[in-house]
Amino acid sequence: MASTTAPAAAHDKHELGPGRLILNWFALCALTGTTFGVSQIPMSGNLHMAAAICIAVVKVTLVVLFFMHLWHAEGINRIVFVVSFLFLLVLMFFVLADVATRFTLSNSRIPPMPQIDQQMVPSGMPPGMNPTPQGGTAGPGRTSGPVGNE
Amino acid sequence: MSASVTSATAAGAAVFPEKSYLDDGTTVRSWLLTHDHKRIAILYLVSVLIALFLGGIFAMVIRLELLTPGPTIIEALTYNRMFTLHGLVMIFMFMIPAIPGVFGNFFLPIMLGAKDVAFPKWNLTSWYVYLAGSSLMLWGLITGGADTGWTFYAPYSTTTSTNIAPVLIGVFVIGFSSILTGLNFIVTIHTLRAPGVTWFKMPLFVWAIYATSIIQVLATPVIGLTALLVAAEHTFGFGFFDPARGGDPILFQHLFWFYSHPAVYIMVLPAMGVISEAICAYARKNIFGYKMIAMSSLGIAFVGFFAWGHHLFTSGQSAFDAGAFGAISMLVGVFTAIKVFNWVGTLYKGSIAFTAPFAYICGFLFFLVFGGMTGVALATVSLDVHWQDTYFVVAHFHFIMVGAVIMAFLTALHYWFPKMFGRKYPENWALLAAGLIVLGFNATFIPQFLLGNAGMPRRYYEYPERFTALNVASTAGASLLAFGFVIIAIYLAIALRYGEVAGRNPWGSRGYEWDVPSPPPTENFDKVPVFTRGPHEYSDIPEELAKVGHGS
Amino acid sequence: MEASATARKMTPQGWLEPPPLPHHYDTPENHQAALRFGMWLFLGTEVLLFAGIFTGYFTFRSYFPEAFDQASRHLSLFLGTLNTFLLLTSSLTVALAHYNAEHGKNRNAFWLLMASVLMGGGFLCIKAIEYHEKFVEGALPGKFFRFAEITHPGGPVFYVVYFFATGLHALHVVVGMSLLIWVAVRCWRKEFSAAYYSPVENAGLYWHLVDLVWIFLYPLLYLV
Repeated sequence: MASTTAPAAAHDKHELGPGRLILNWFALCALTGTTFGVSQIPMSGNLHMAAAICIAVVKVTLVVLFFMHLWHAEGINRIVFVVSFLFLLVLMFFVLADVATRFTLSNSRIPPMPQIDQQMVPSGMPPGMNPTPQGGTAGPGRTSGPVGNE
Repeated sequence: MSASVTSATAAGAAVFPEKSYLDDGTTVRSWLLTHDHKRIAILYLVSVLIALFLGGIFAMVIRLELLTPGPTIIEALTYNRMFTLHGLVMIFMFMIPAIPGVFGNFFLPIMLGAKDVAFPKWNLTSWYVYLAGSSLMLWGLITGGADTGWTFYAPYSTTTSTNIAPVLIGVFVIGFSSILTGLNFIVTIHTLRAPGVTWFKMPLFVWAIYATSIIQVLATPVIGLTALLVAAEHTFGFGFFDPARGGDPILFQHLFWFYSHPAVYIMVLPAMGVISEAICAYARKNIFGYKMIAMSSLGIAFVGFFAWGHHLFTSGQSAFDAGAFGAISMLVGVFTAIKVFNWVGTLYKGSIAFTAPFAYICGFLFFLVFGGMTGVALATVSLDVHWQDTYFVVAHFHFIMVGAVIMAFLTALHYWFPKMFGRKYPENWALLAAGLIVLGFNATFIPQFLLGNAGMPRRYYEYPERFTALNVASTAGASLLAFGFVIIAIYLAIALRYGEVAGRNPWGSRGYEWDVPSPPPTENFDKVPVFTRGPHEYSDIPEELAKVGHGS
Repeated sequence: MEASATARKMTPQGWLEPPPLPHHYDTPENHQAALRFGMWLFLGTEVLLFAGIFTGYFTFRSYFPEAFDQASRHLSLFLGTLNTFLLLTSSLTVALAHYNAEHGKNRNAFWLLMASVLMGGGFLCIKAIEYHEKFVEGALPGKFFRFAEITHPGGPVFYVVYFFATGLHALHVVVGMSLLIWVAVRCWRKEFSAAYYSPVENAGLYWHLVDLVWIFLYPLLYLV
């Protein structure tokens, strides 16, 4: 039967009324403007990335907490969201750690880490290994042209 | 009917319940549109058994081809398609959905005192999604068939001339089914427990399913994305994974194994849950170390997410990653060891009933330990350099996938057969089949350890002469294994109709599910059950139960 | 989960009575909590779905920083920022719709939801304009790449990431819009009240997730 005087669901004891939601929206717009503004400031690339990510994280937090009601939600929902994010970070961490510490790809233009490349045999193999006799020249060297002109 | 365990119930001959979930609507429509978790479990059972049969056929074709060093019955491209089919069908259509889809669906609500899972319609949907994905995948495999292996590594998978796109989309869709099942189970466990069922009063099978479901929800999306990326690259030549276009093939491997390693825990954790349940029933003893087993399930699920790089040891990932992944991979062994010790501790001073399920439990323990130890050995980077992509790895994972998981599936099938269908299977035939399977399994896969160690690579169509003897031995073993399965199929089919009526609790088990009739009514319970005893409690077993199930 | 609207009776307050509780739940609160929890779990899977693409972005960015820098400058900053505002505002209207539905103000909720749908449509139109520009320029992924203005290697790879990420996101926008339209229709039928508003909440959560993904995509693709 219709619960005419049904109390609002338990999770919304303190209601997020329209006023608070609009306030949240203003904050988000302001942050968007900020991130746009910061991106125009001449800084090093890494700093730009760090700043952009920080502001994005704040925006996401605001959306999640207030638009998605996680501020007042049951604990388990918060755990679910945080845990998924954490595992995203796990995936990224190990992949990026691999990329950062692997030998540089032969077709990229990243300056090589000096101490490793100086020890490399010309074929691009790690120190201590003999290049397999594949008849003639070394494997793909660093001299290949820009990728994409096929 | 050949001699079966005579039920020594003091109450007299067992009676088949008048109304159960099986006869609550007998039309095809009532089955195909059911919301009852038990019927959905049976739908899954039929599908996964077909998948097991298909996967087994492909395995036999592979083994027959490998009887001789050169071409035997098929050509090379067909052989590549066979091991791809075998892997894809077995993993995505059988191993991942089997125990959760069949026994999780059937027993999770009952074990929690609930009348159904949290979202019954999504439960049914998950079966249809599984069917859709499987059909798409099989259709793709039949029309032009992938030859990449189930791991569809780029850049071969992105450049192969075979019709891989529908196969990959099929994988994506099946993944969705897996996510829906896991999601449903997690919500059920959190919100539908009956009064008195606190977290540490839940049966260990439920803990195992819970840990499995968490992995399913977190890991499966990544393989979905990866399959889409490869399909897109294959179709449109994008160049995400193609080095010639600036892509990184190792990135593919990272993304692929981020799911596929936790996937093996999706397969093994429910198996371990089954064993925890059955071992108490057949040893007539409380589980040793309930909390440790429960927590170690979560531990395996968690640590399993950090270990995927051990599949990339020889692929070119950095030494830093290799070292980290190697160390973490060994950690998983700790949690598994905890479980094995606890199971053995349960058996110690128990009152053992050597039934067919118990024979499978013994097989499970032996194969899990053996296979697990070879896993730890493979996690050692320096050893893996020698064994990577050889039959050593193949033998290792078959020891776990077949030796542990399929044994546990058979344990579950036999242990819960009376509960699900109200009838007993013939014990002597079951023991014979169990013997054949354990024997056949050893004969199939122990030679493969030797082959791998001697250097025979996996997925090879031809091999050097000196490996012939071991390959022939392996094929002979596979035939024995197949024969065992055929026997099981026959007697279970007969028992469905003509088996001796089981009664409510033919094993004298103290699992919560044995308190409801066999087979259970649609609603599971007339009124909300109140649970007064802990799970797996045998210390205060009542008189009439103590006599049951052990007299043979 | 939801009984058909035709079976439910209209209450004096002007909304339909809530659908009957499914037989295996004990209280409506428990049912709502379960629905919410299920939706959050699903959102978790969506986060992991996009995880792979973001990983790919950072991976290739580290290989080809100059190309990524160049290519991002060739994206229309104005259109990207406009899209961001569109999605943020549509999130606001969805949140407001949730509030209204929970208080039984179904007609308000309807208009707010349709506003969100409109803004979502606007987002897609702008995306279409951007894609069209790329086709004309030849700024395309992989083997279709013909954009001479990206002089550093890695141009095609940037566009693979760009098209895949924004394409997958656009697909989710379409799904989100469909969900919102479906829920809006139910608002028009006055189905929601304090006793029953889960569909609005859950559709809203999905839409917010779509916004979340864009909040990350925008700076990574357009700004840095």
